[in-house]
Amino acid sequence: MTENFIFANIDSIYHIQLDPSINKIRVVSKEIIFERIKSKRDLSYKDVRTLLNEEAKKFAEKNKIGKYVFLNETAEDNKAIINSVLAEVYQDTFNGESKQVLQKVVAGELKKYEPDKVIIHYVENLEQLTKVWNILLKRIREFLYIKSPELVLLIEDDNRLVEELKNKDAKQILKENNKASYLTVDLPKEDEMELKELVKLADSVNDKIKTTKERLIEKIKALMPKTSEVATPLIAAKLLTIAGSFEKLAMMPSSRVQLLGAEKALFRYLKSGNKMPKYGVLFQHPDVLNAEKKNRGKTARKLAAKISIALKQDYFGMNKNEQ
Amino acid sequence: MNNENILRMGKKIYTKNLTPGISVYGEETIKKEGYEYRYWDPFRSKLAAALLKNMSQFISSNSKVLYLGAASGTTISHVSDLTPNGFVFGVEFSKRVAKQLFLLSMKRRNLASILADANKPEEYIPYVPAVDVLYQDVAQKNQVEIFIKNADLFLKKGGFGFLALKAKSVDVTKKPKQIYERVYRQLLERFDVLEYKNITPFQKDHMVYLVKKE
Ligand SMILES: C[S@@+](CC[C@H](N)C(=O)[O-])C[C@H]1O[C@@H](n2cnc3c(N)ncnc32)[C@H](O)[C@@H]1O
Repeated sequence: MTENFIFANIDSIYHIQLDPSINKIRVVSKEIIFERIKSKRDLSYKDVRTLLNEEAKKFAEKNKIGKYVFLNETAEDNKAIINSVLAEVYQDTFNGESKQVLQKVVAGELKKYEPDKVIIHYVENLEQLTKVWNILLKRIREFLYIKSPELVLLIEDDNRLVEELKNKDAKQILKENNKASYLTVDLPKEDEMELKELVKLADSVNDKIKTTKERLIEKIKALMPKTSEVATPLIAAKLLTIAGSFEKLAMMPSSRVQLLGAEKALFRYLKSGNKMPKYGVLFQHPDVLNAEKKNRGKTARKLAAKISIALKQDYFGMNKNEQ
Repeated sequence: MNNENILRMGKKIYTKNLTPGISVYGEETIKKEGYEYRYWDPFRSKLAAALLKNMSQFISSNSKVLYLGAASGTTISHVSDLTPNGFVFGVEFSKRVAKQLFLLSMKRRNLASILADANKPEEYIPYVPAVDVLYQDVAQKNQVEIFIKNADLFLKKGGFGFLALKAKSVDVTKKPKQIYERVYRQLLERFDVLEYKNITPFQKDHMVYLVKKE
């Protein structure tokens, strides 16, 4: 029994007959459509495909054949064919006006707000601000050591130290804590000022860290609600940063998500065959931290799988809302 | 090929500034016979390096050029200088650097910027006509494939193609020489390969090829 097909490529539509019993393919008829499509201008890739498919359908109806092989967007061959038609259509249409149109399109793209890229900047801000805080506190402790070694030794927590020094004098703090002040001294006025100003600066850096963190958490929750829930917002943001974009992160296999942040260890492993890393950023997740040491790898793997699913839900859910 | 917009003085080359008074990346400018010329640094531009290595000049003042991997515009600004009566299309896919390229293209009447992946020419087919020159410097694993794809679609018959090949980005495990040879053979299948030059010491492990579409 023979079977009839309509097959369309860019220049023609073919009516093809297959005869499986004798293994034969026969072209019954052919209609040239290339010129017809070429005569239309302002075509996009999609337009050409649609036109072709319409033509093929018409042709099939005319010949009373129900089976089409339509051009398929993903097939590389079809793509090359369609592209070559488009290139021919557009080959001499460029003029000064086209530049303006093009520049407008490009400017539009360049001005677009990209929430994932902005979040990555928040993560970087947070990391750098934390470094600034650490540097400042090292300086404050060294400077304070001249004035009051007892106080430096008494308060180990950096946040608390700044909080106390903001409003109180060293001697007063020591007294409140029932500590002696054998080596605590009053410094010349300008030195006291220097210390106070450093503390003030540290305090405002601390405030900045807080607001940056708050905004970051809000933003990541808005962009990736499910992932933030499963991974915690800060880990979700860190994963995004290492991946480079939401799309890249969402498309990663969960085995890669599991090892994000362990790139150096992985490289070392591949080079020297030492211990293979079991987790990267996910190490900071409570599930992994709280797991028994021998179960950590397994826990990280399970967590990565859950995160992977959440990521895809967030990513494809987002695109749905956009449309 | 002769191009009066290029100036060679001993071991230094310059291009006639299309936008006098404006320097693009801090390069030195000189005045000669009433015209301003911009110094073209072979350590920053593979095309300048190739020309200093005696590659033939293949861009004329009315060439239409498709430039893939334009980055922030260092080399393409000189290509734009070379083609006052032609046009240059710069394709770049990183937004970060494309912003600078865009701003450059607003200052130069013969330059347009395109934010797209050179792997997906369908995105810029509607904007790019048939060209006389295809220039590619994308440092990608599938560089040759990208080059051929774009040459098939946009390069005129008899047009020139310039390919800057970074051995490391094609395959880190192989010796550069092996990669150069393989690419040479790949190009031979499709083009007339006119010249190839190793551009050390200007760039390490780079080969540049000049081909002609038959
Ligand atoms: C070596 S740099 C080019 C330097 C530039 N040609 C010059 O000399 O001034 C390579 C550039 O190609 C871009 N690139 C890489 N792959 C690309 C692709 N598939 N499509 C478009 N641009 C790409 C990179 O973002 C980068 O800016």
